[in-house]
This record gives sequence, structure tokens and C-alpha cells, in this order.
Amino acid sequence: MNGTNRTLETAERLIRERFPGHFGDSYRIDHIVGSSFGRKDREINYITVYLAPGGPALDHRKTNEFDILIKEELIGHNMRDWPAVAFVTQDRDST
Amino acid sequence: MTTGQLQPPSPLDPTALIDSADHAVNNAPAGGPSREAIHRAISTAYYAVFHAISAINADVRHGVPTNPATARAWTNTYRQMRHGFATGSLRHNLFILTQDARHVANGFINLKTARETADYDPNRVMTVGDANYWIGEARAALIAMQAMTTADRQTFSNITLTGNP
Repeated sequence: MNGTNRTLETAERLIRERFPGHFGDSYRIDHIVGSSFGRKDREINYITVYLAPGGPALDHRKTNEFDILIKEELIGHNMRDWPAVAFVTQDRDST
Repeated sequence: MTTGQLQPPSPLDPTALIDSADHAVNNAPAGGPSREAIHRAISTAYYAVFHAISAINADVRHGVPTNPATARAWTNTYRQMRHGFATGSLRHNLFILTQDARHVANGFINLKTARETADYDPNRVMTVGDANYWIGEARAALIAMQAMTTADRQTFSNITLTGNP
């Protein structure tokens, strides 16, 4: 499966909705890439959030708090295969 | 090893593991790191936190080993944690943890998923940006670990080894 399952879709929507309120105007999402594959009894979901260039470096405590907020909302949708979400600023990514 | 002499346990150093991942990704030859180096770095970042939690588990139960028997007990507990059981138990108990412990738990859960993607999904190409994010997340987890109280560590250890706080 390549980024088309319901948990990935919901997580991506929640990230887009909640991101501005959590991180403020200094950051803007450019695009999001998700992927998924089955392993044992669950889906392994992975998301990279690409941020537009120019923003300051993100603080990991802040991204961790945001991630927990997204997990809480996914639980509300009865979704347990939580994605790992990486935040990458495009001008700091060389590949 | 003789039975009467204390040989202190010598586990891998989590910070050195993270540094090695950092070096592999950010000091590569011209042309940048290979895909393999990037994926290995993400896996190494996960293992750094895994080893750090293993050490907490052993410390909580045995303290600093003072003789061969306690050194063996420390090592046995260090080796006790199982990847899937520990992260599964932390997922179930994530929202009862205090802030620092929750930060560590959430980072560990995410690093495991990132590692599984890096190691087992042949179709996902991870980038330097992904690797640097997880390297940073592992460093942040080690910092949060230092802030955990004795009670936090006890609870964390109970969850990762037994499934119950």
C-alpha cells in the first residue's frame, strides 16, 4: 500500500488542520508524503511533512506535543496504527 | 570471566550511537550519503533510545552493580526488554505518563515506526531530512529522559518490562 489508507488520510487532514494553530505563522506546510505497508498484525504508517523554506528550526518538544495531539484525535476516530511523522524543512533537505 | 571479580556491564553508549548516525548522514563524501546510510542512521537513532531505556530498566531494578551477582542481574534486566512488547505497552499507557516520560515514550514509539519503515519498506525512500529529524528526536528523547523523576523511571520500567505501570 502506498499512502492511501484511511489512517494516513485522516492523519494528513488533521496535520493540515491543526498545524497553523500549534506552530504559528512562521511555518507553512509545503506538501506531505505518506506511505504504508503491512507488517505482522498492523499497518506501519509513515508521514513526512515538508515545510516551506525559510522558517526557523522546529523544536522537538513542540513537534512531540503536536504529534501527541494528533494521536489523541486518531484515537477519537478509533485509529490505532499511528503514523510516525517527520518534519523536514525543504531547504535543509539535500536528497 | 572469573566468578569473584566484578566486571562492570559495558553497554553501548546511546549518545555515541546517535553521533555515529549523525556523522554517517552529515559528513558523507561528495554526492551525499547513500540511501543505505540514511536508512541505517534512522535505525541507529531508534536503537540509541532502545539502549538508553534498557539501561534505565536495569538501573531501576538493580542500581549500580557492586559485585558479580548484581552485575549479572543488571545485564539480564538490560537484555529483557522486547521491542514490540515495550512499544505496544507504552502505546496503551501513553496518556497516563507525566510530561517528560510521555515525551520519551512518544519519541520511542515513533522512532520504532520510522525504523520499521527504514528497514522493512522497500518502496519508501527516506531522505537526509528524515534522518536528521529522527536523529534530533532521539537526542530530544535522551534529554527528556534525564528530566524524568525516580518515580517516572520506575513507572516507565514497569510498563516496558511488564506492560503495567
